[in-house]
Amino acid sequence: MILFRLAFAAVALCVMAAPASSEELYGTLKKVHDTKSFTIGYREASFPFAYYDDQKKPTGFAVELCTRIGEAVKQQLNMPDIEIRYLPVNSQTRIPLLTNGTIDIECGSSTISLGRQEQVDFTYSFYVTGGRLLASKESGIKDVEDLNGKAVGVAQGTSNEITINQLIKSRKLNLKLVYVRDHAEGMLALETGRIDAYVHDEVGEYALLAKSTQRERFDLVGPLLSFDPYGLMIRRDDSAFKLVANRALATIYRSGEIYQMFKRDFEPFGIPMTPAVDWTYKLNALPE
Amino acid sequence: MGHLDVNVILRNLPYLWEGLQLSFLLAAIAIAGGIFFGLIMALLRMSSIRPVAWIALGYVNFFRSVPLILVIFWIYFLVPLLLGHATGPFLSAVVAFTMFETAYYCEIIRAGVQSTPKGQISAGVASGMTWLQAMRHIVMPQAFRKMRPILLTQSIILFQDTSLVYVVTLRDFMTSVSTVASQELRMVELYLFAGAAYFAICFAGSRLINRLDGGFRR
Amino acid sequence: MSAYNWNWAVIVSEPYVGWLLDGLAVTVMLALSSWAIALVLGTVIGLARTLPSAPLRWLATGYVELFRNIPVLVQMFLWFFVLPELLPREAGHWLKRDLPHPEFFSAMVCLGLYTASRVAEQVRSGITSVPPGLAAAARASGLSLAQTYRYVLVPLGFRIIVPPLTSEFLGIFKNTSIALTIGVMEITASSRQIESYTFQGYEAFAAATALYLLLALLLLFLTRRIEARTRIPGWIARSNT
Repeated sequence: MILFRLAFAAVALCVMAAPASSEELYGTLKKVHDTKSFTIGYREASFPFAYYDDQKKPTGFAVELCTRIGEAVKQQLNMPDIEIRYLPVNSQTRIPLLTNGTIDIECGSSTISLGRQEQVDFTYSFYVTGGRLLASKESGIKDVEDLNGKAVGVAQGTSNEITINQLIKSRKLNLKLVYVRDHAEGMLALETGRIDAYVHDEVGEYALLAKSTQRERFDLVGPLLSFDPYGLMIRRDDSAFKLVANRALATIYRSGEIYQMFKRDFEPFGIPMTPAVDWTYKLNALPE
Repeated sequence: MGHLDVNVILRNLPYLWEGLQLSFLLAAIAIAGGIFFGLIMALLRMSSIRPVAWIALGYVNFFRSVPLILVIFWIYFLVPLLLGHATGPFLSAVVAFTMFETAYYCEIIRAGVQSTPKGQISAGVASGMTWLQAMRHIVMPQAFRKMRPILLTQSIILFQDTSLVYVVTLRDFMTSVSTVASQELRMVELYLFAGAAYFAICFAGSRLINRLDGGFRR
Repeated sequence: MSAYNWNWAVIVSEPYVGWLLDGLAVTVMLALSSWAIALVLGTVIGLARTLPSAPLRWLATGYVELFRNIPVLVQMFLWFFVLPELLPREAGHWLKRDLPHPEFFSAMVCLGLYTASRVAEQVRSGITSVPPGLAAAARASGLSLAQTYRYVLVPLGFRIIVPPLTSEFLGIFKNTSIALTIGVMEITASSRQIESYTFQGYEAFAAATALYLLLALLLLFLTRRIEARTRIPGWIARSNT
């Protein structure tokens, strides 16, 4: 493993060790160069992509990918003393904080959507999932139609909020929508009986279930309600930095390391590898 | 939710204590900044130059009309955009609280100054002082003695208000409490603890103010 | 770092302008209903603090100290998240589910009880600022304690505290924004929702700010008229702002 990383680092150095100062830096790379710091915005309760470990340190699949991108930026600029900082964000603060320069990349479980790309940009996708219902068994909810007359929770500012509101309109559902701040609060609302079902991405729901002490009371039900490819959010019009980020991701995908990370981060939550996820890594493993 | 689990709080005490220190620091800086700029703003507000007084009045009325949460959002998101570089969440919070509280301290200080009879300034000026000197040596010492309890009470309110940085996830006491509550899925214990902790601090603070104030008055 | 694309049209386009107006309606309803609670309860507790009966005074003082020394945000969480879990199962379930809008009523009770503690302080200071000779004269001329309060202390005391009370009234409108943390869709929350749908956060915040300023201007106009009508001639108003 270590040997492998060393070899990767050596190859990477040969390939992209172009002296940073020779070309005109702009965007994020210039900012990182000038401030000697790279700030990663992370979500606090987006399991298993970004969350707190027992020491209250940010951890997770996406956090590690962002950290690796930070390392790639250091190499690209040839500045090993760049400080990688971590800053918590939530679904309402992530886009403003990215556009105003407080954070340089957001790692969590943000869906790559066309609407968002009017304000921000995304790296290659690193996971593909969709919204699904997590329902309590006693509520008897088996599908979307059963939501009539029930209380349904959703986190504010997420793509799930848009999904459920579209469903309410298209299927003429009559339900009580309860807004929660993040997915941990959503799970608590479900456990305490405040809501009958929670709308969230399937992958996150697996993780919430695995964490819950009352997991036998709940079930994932119904089909996938939406298509949610996840990407790491970066600023728009910043091709040079985007290339550094994508190159770091493609290298991890190409080497197969991503499958080890997947195993380590997802298996404890009982999340299987799906063909869509597998193909995401294969398609984005671009050659040098 | 079952029985209360005290261990969850004990286990996380070091983390919560860090958050509390940040709350104290934020409150302390904002109190100092708020009183300093509040004093300047109060002087501007009482200025005989009309446009200056109007601008100060506009500032005060603006910040007394909008909720603190909105001010926190604005400063947190907008200032880096205007400045062109990131300011960091703590600095943003300091700026937001100082700007907001300046308006409140300004009004307290103005009321204190205006309760001092005008004749005293005239007397000071007549005996050769400038207006500012009269303010500095005659009016302000009296005014500050009168408004000390209100200034201190406002400072306790400010400390309570720092909990609102929760909305932008700056790691203060309240955000730490909520992080632990989410992570351990234990809201009842954590929020009861937060209530008890804030009460203990603010109640002790207001008792202290009463004691000090009694002492000064004697 | 001006990577931001401005689009001011978004805040006046459907459905977003509707969200803002809904938010405004929620803010006004929440503020008025909590104010009703605060005024009634605050008056009772404020009067209790001036009574000769020591246990009543202590009880009222305890109430004021408790509610004044805990941040509103924490109180909001206690009412919304904690209380239903501490109650018997059925009562908790009723609070969480059978109430049509649990978050609204939690916020209403929270803001009402909190503001009551502040109103109580104003009421107490109003009553105690009536010259003691007046009350003594009333008692001496045969009025009972209740009558003294009814005909002398309360009418005078309340007219004295109208200015500080109106400032509390303005304050409750601003405090309604804290209810967004438990999911009440008031003005600030609406602007954040517009942000998450359109990603035009700054425009949405500007619209919310404008609504608060308009609201404040309107309230200022109303309260000035009330203050002018209730002022006691010859009594120098203490500016208690």
